[in-house]
Amino acid sequence: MSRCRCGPNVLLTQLDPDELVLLGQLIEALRRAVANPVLGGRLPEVVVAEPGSDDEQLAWLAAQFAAPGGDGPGAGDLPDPALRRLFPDPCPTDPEVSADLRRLTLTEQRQAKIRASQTVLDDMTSVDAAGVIPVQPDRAVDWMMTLTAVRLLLAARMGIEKDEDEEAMERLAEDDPDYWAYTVYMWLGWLQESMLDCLIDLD
Amino acid sequence: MRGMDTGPGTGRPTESGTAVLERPAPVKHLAHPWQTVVWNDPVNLMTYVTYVFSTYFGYPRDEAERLMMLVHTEGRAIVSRGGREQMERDVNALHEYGLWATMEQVAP
Repeated sequence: MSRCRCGPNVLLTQLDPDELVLLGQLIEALRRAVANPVLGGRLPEVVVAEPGSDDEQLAWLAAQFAAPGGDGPGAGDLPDPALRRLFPDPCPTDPEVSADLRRLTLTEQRQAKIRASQTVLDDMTSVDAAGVIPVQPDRAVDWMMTLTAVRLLLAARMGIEKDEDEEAMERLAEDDPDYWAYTVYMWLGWLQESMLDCLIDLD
Repeated sequence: MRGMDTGPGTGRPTESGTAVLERPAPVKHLAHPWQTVVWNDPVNLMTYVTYVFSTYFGYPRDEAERLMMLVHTEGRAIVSRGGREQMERDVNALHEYGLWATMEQVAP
C-alpha cells in the first residue's frame, strides 16, 4: 500500500509494483490530454507515450482522459469540461481579458504541466527494490501539481463538480462503472495527502 | 513629502542643488483595481490549498489556513489584490497548481 515516509530532507514515497504501473499510465494519459492539439496546436518537442496496455481497466481509464476533437479555443471556450477545469477561464466577468490571457499563456500552461509530470516520471525510474522512490523536497511541488492534475481530470470525467457529487460517489455500488475510477481517485488523494504531511513537516 | 510651495511633479531643490522629481501620490482606485479569487472545488485537498497559499504567496500558516477555510465555508476567498498584470501572474500560477482561480475587477 502506498504511503510516504519523511526521511532526512527527503520524501520516501512507497508504491507497490501495480501502483507504479497505474500511476505511470495515468500520468501518460494526462500528458496526452495536455498535448492534444485541440488545445491550440501541438507542443513542439513533447513526446508522449501512446496508450499501450493489455489491462482492460487501465485502457478504460486512459480512454477517460482522451479529449474529443473540436475547433479549439479560438472558436470559443475549450472543447472539453475536463480541459476547462485543468485550464480554467481566468476572467469570467470579462471575456476579452480571458481571451487575451489564454492566447498569451495557454501554451506556457500546457508546457508547465508537461514539465511537472516529466519530473514525476523521472523520479519514478529511481524506485528501489522495496518500491521506495526518494523525492527531493524541491521536486515535490511537481508531484503535487501532477497528482492534482490527474485527480482533476478523473473527477471531471466522473462528473464530480460540487461537494455533494463526491458524497454521492461514496455510495456507489461496486459494480458501477465509475466505482473503480473512484477508488483510484481516492487512492491518489491519499497518496497526495501523505506526501503533503511530510512536506509540511520538512518546512 | 511634498513641499508646501511646489505642486506634484515639480522639482524640489536638494541640499546639493539638483532637482528631484516627486512621484504623485498613487490614486487608490487605480493602484488596486483587480483581485484574485479562489473558488471552492470538491477535488483539492484542504491541506493542499493551505500548502499552495503558503508556498506561492508566502502567507504565514495561520493566514493560509484562514483563507483556505474561507474558500471551504464561503465558496470563495479573495487571495490577492493588485494591478492587472500581477493578478494575471497570480491566476496563472494558481492554475499551474490546479486551483480554481479567477481574476476580477474590484467593485468601485
